[in-house]
Parts: sequence; structure tokens; C-alpha cells
Amino acid sequence: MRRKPEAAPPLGEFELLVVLAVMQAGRKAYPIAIRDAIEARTGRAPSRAAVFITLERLEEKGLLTSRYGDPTPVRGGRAKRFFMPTPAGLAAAKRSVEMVSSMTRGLESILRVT
Amino acid sequence: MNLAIRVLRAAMPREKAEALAGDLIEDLRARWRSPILRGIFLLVLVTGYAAVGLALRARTFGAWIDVKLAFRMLVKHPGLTVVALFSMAVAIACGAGAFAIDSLLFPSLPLHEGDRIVSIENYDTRSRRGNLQALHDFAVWREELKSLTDMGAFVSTQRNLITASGAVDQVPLAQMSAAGFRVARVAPLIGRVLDDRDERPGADPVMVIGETVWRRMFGSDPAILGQAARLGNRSHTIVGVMPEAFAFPVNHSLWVPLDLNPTAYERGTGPRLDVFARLAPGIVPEAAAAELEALGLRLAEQFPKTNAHLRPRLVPYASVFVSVDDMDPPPYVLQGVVGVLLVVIAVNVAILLYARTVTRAGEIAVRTALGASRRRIITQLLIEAAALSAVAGVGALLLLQVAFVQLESALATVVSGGLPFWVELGISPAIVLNIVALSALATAIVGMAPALKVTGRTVQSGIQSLVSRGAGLRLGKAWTTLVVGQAAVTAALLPGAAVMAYSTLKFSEADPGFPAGNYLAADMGLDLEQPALNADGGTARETAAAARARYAALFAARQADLRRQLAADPGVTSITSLWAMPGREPNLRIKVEGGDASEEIRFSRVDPDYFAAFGAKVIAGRALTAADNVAASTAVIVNQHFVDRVLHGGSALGTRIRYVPNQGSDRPAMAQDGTLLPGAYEIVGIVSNIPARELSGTATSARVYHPTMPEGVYPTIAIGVRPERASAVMARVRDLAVAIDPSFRLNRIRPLIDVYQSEKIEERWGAVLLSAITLAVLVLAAGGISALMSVTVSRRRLEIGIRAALGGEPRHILAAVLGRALALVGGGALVGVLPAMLLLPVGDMVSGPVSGWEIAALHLGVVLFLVGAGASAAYGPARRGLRIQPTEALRGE
Repeated sequence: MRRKPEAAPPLGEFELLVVLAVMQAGRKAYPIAIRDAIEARTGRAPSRAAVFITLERLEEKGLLTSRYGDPTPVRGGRAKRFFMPTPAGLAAAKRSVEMVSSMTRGLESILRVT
Repeated sequence: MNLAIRVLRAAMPREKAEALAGDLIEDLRARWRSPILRGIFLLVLVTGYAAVGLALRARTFGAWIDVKLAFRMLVKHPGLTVVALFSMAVAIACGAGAFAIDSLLFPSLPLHEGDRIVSIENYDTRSRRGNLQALHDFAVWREELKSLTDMGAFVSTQRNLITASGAVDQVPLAQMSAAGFRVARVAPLIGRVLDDRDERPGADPVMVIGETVWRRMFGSDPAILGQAARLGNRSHTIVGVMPEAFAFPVNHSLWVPLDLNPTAYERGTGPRLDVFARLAPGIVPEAAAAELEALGLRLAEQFPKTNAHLRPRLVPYASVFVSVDDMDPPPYVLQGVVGVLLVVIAVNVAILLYARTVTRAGEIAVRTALGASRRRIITQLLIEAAALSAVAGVGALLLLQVAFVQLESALATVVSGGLPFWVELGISPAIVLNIVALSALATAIVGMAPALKVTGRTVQSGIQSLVSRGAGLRLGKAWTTLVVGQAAVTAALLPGAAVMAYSTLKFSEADPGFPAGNYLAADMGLDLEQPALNADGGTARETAAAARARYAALFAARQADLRRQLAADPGVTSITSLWAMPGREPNLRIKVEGGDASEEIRFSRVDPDYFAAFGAKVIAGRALTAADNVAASTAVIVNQHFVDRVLHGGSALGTRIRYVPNQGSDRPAMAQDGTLLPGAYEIVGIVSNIPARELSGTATSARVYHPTMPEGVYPTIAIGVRPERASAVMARVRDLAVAIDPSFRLNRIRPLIDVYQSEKIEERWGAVLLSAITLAVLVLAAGGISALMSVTVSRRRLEIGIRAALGGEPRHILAAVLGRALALVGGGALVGVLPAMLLLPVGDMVSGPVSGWEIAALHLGVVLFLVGAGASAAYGPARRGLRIQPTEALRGE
């Protein structure tokens, strides 16, 4: 008997932040821009290593994909590695956001969520 | 930067590594302006990412967790970590340092096919050293040897380089065959190198300068080619500039053609040459050596008078400039001691980690019970050991870097003109690799044994020990043996090493007993080449003798001028010529007329100002005067110690002494300057002892002072200075010399105390090394014994609690536990002291006299230190055992 394929597991908290930052940065989503996006919107400055490991893990899980851009002089002639979410990544992010928002429903006055 | 990329690429695919490096560079550029700080941060970050990358590549996030756990364990046991880290860092640094020293003694040349460049040494089987007066042989070798190409020679010297603008500096100069540039295969920065036409008689004098000279003396003038500059009195045209890194043949930065004329000299005489060549293509060194040897034998037959004892031989290029024969103590003694101590360190760290691992037996058992395989647990323990070794490796790197910086500045005081170009004192990739390999070895030693041992236990016994909180285990035979063995080995080895380190340190401080810091020693030279002495001490030809006399007269006149002008300087208090440094006079044997016994004395020649300059008092008779400065003078002065020891306090003035000829020689005794000492010499004065203390730490020697010879050349003068004016005087001496005569030059000037200290430099380094290792072993031994005692007594904690619960007096229980600890450690230490006593005469022999009291104190100190460490480690757990509630103790059982 074939098992029914499971839905993508929800993302961890930091994984969700990274996927959302990738989406926010759009076509310019490379590690430094991703970290800057997280820092600008959340005030939390994640370490380079944390962002790097999480991006690697998300790509391994098939939730992100990456491509290499053109070399730039400011980077010592090295190319940027741009990330973008896969359909599975988008689905996982959507599910995680829904889970959070369903959990916050009714708590708006306490959490002061607008 | 490239190193960083290479590190990353070892850990992840190329594109990914490049992109990550780009991220890091971009990020660091935004944060740090200093390129040095950026470089440091980049390397640190890259190392971290490489570790992450490796973990990711292996797809084992478990390994990454193990790495984190390992570092947490290091932080959790700070005492143990510090002790183990310090010891391992010292051990790894010593291992890698030995490798670095090895490459210093047996270097590879940083030149194209540098291993095919050789030196030819004319080995004298009588004197057992190379004979450098090989002018005529060199001509034959160059003509006839087919297996060597580009053979050339050089003479190393110094000159005053005087530019058109009047700037003056001394530069190490090589008079070198044009072949030297072909052998080195280095292209000039601008212009050309020397070629064979420049060596022809009558050719225009030319020179090639190094990049540093070009920059420093000519302001990197792009129109330098064709400019003239003077070397002493002679003008040369600059034809080329060599790159900064080029210093062939040794440490040179200026090159002029070597002008050789064998017909001007008799065979066996001539300038002192160093000969180099390159192996011809396809020729192995053995073949070239065989051809050279055959030629040497032919020359020995052809010219028996000069060549009978000469055996030319092929040696690796740098080996003629580096000698390990003169080191004292010999390198193998130091290496042996270091080797033994390193083994002790490795074993001790293993014991320490084992003690820590054993305390985690319960945790390991639980993990095993929860399904962790033995391999998984061993991996974790090995990663913990690797983390420790890696941090120790970084520590070793830092230690070595500090040591290299210190060594370089120390060597700079010993080696004039800079280090040879093949010596690179710094962290090279080879040294890093060496440290990585040693760290891996350390991981295997300190991680594998405890891991295998502790995971070999059955799960049940581990869980049982966990449940009974350690009460089930007692101090077994293995632990007892370890404690006793540890104490014994430490007590056996340490005092010997400590005595050696202590005595070397004690006598490595140069203290001649007079304020040597208030004197400058200046070595002067004159460009006119001084004809060398031949093997018999006489001169080769009348012309050479005449040239020598001319040189001596000219030198004496220039030096007298300099002394006169210096004497007028308010910062100068005294000036005297030195035949030998006070305390460094050579030994000769004398007999007092009317007596039979011969006595060893120190022989010196001094000018009339010597005693006043060094503050020696004339106790009886008179000092030497200018009137004594004649070749036939028989007047000598002796020091107070001569009167006390040789004459046993008897009357000295008027006593006559004779020098004892060398054994088996029918000729009169010869002083080290080649002068003969044939007749009887009369003591005309007694002076106080200078130096007041011998540098070797032995009793003061008897000394006999002769007047300087009228035709002698005394290149070194000692200048007494007021301390506050010393640097001004140092700066002035060179200008004065050049003003007197452009070819009269100051080769070197430095405080006299530096001269003494530079002679002690090897000893001091050996002593510092030995002291560091001894300290590491001592700390480690104390740590090891503490850990063992702590573990064993901790395991008896519940037993101690039960005894207390059953009514045992705390005093008695404590005494019993501590008594056992003391008996174990003290017994072990005593077992070790016996062989140490047997070893000590060797240590004594190697390291000079150390008093019996000092040796006894060192022994006692080590034993007390170990016993103290054991007792203090046992005391804490024992006290905690006494505080256990009786009910808890009984429930535990």
C-alpha cells in the first residue's frame, strides 16, 4: 500500500525568517542582503554562519534553490550566489505563516498585533 | 586570501567556496578598514566555515553537534583544559620548532632548482676544516670539471658606499664571479647583471646594487643606470638593480666583479674564496663528487707541498656557512632531553583525559543503552580530543610566532649584515602542515586510548556505577600504578631537567663583573686587502709581507687619528685597542723559571691604555707604557689571581716565565695571532683582576698581559662612554672614520655587553626551551596527579560518608584518606628520586657546576610540589564526603 505523501513540514522559526527574507530581497537575495533584510525588519542581527548554515539546509531540503551571478570587483572578483524559494519552499512558508496567524487569532488585544 | 580560498575549497565545491569568500570579503571590507585586521578575520572566519562546510559535506550534522559539545566540555573543565592546552601547545610548538630548526641547519635554497647548487670545500685533513685559500685550485676546478657548470667564487667584504650626494653607508658586498648570477637564475629588476667581460683586467669598474640599497641610498631613482658611486676610494658605475629578495651568495645587497689573478700569488696563498657551482644537466651529485675527488687526488700528487692534505669535496650549498659541530651542548643532547619530556607530556595528557573520561562513564553507558553505537561514542570522544589538539595547535602557532620574532632579533645581534637569504624565520606552510600533523598525532594519543578503554566496559557496569554514584568502584591496581608511576617518572626526570635548565640559565647571563654596558666595541676595517697568512703562519712572499706591513702601518695611522678625534668627544671616557675581549682571552701554558709545574693561563696583548680603560688598578710595579710597544719587549703584567694561584702569593715582580711549546713540537710556543713566544718574559707589574668574574661561571683565571706588537693590526677598539652619550658616540664613529679616509670603515659598533651576550645566545635559547618544557611537565604532572587523586577520592566519597555515619572520627577518616594519598604520591616520588640521583652526574657534566645544595633543593622542591598537589586534590573530595548525610550515604549502599 502506498503511503500518501506528507505535506511539507512547517519551517523552524529562523528558517521561516530566512525564507521570508529571501522573498523580500527578491532577485538580489544573496547571503549578505538576506542577513541585512532580517536585521532591518526584525532588529535581530543573525551571525553569518547561522544564515549560511540555514540557507544550505533549506537548499538541501529542496525549499530554496540557488544560482551564481557575475563576479564583482568589490568582492575580489567573485560571484554572488543568489537564492530563491522553490514552490515547496513557498508552500512551507505559507503553511508556517498560517499556523502562526491561526495561533494568534483572538489574541490580538493581548499581543497588540495590528 | 588565496590560502583562505584553498581552505574553503577543501571543505566545499569550488563555486560555493568562491561565492562564500566573496561574501566574506564584501562584508569585511564594509566593517574593517585595516587590511591586516581584514586578513586576520578572514582567516578566522574561513577556518570556521571550512569546519561547517566539512560537516555539511559529510551530511552529518551529528558531527557538528559533537564539535559544539567538545568545545562545551573544554569550557566546562577549565582547569583541566588550561593544563592540557598549555602542555600540548608547548609540546607541539617544540616538535614543529625542531622541524624549523632542522630546515635552518639543512635548508633548501629558494632558487630555481636550488637543490642542484653546490659548494666546493677544500677540506684540510690536518686542521679538519675547509681551507678557503683555494685560488689556484679553483682555477683548475673551473677549467677541468665537466660535471659542474657555472662555477664561480665570491669574497665577502664590506665597503663604505658613498653616493654622489654624499650619503654614506656600510653595505655587505660580494666580489663575485659573473657566474653567480647565472647560478642563481634571477633576472635584474632593471639594467643588467655582471657578465664575464666585467672581470677582464682593465674593464671599467661596475657594480650591481640590490633593491634595498637603490631605495635607501638613491631614493629609487629611475635613472640610476650609468650613475657613479664610490666604494671607499674607488668609483664604480651602476649597471643594474636586483630584486629585493635577491641576496645571493649569502646576505649581500651589492655586487662587484671578482678580480682574480692567480699569478700574483704563490700556490696555497691568495684571497679566501667561497666556491659555488651548479650540477650540469643530468649529472647526479655522486658523479660530480667522484670527478672532483679524482681531480683532488691528482692535484695532491702534483703539488704535494700545498695539496697533500687537501681533499676537495662537494657539499650542499648552504652547509659550508652553517655549522652544527660547534654547538654546546651538542644538539642531540638537547633533542634527547626534549624528546623524553615530550613523551612524558603526551602520556600525561592521555592520563588527564582518561581521568575525565572515566568520570563520564555513566553518561556514556546511558548513551549506549539509548542505542548509540561504540563507534559513535568513540567518534565523539575523538572529536573532543581533536578540539583540544586543534586549540593547542593554534596556541603552538602563536608560541612559535613569538619565538621566531624573538629569535630573529636575537640573531640580528649575532649575524652581521643580516641573515642568509635561505633562512626564513616565520610561519611557513610547511610549519603549519607540521603543526596540523602533530595535532592529529596528539589527537590519536590523547583521544584514542581513553576512548577505547572507557567504551570497552560493559553497559551494565557503567549503568551500575551511574546508579550507585561511583560508590561501586574502588581505587584499583591500575589507578594505584598510575599515581605511583606518574609521581615516580616526574620525580625521576624533572630534577635533572630542572638542574640543566637552571644551570644553563644561571650562566647564560653574561656578567663580566665590570660595567660592560658603558663600553662600545667598534670593529674597523680598511679597504686595502690584508694579505692572508699561509698555513705555516709566515707570509708567502716578500711582497706579501711588505703589503702586510704597509696595511698595518696605514691601519694604525688611521686608527690613531680616529682615537685622537674620539678622545676629544665629551661623551668618551676612555679608548683602548682590543686584541681579545676581557674574559675571552685564549689559554696558553707557562712555566715559572725555577719551577717544574706548568700552569694554564690566559694570554692577552694590551695597549698602554687598557688597564685604565677597564678600571684595573696597578697593585705593584708598573703598568705597560708606550716604550714597551716594541717587538723585542719582554715585559709582562700579571693579574692578582696569577700571583695567588701560580706563585702562591710569593713575590712576583722580577719573576720570569716561559711559554710551554705545543706537545711534540720543537718550535717555540705560538700565540693565537701567529707570533712566536720564544724567550723568557719578566713580570714588571701586578694589576687587579679584569674581568672580576669569569663568564663561564668558573673561578677567576690567571692572566698574563703582553704589550701590543708595533706591526700588529688590532681592528677592534673599546670606547668607554658616558651612558647618556652612548648613542651619539655610536653615530659619530662612522662619520669620523669616513672623514679620515673614505676607505676606512666602521664594520660594526655595539655595546660591549652585547658582544658577551651574543656569545651566550644559544645557551640562553636552549635554557628557555628547556625551562618551558620543564614547567609544562611540572604543571602537567601536578594536574595529572591532582586529577587522579581527585577521581579516586571522589569515588570513595560515599564510603567516607558511611564511615562517618557509623561513628568514625572525621579527623581519623581524613587522615586515613590523605595518608593514603600522600603515601602513594610520596612513595612514587621517592622511587623516582633514586634513578634521578644516578642521572644527575650526567646533568652536572652537561650543564656545568651547580652546588649540591641547589640540586638537593630542586629535588625536594619537586617532591614537595607533587605531594602538595596530590594532598590538596584529595582534601576537597574527602571533605565533601564527610559532609554527606548518613542517611543518604546508607541509602546509596
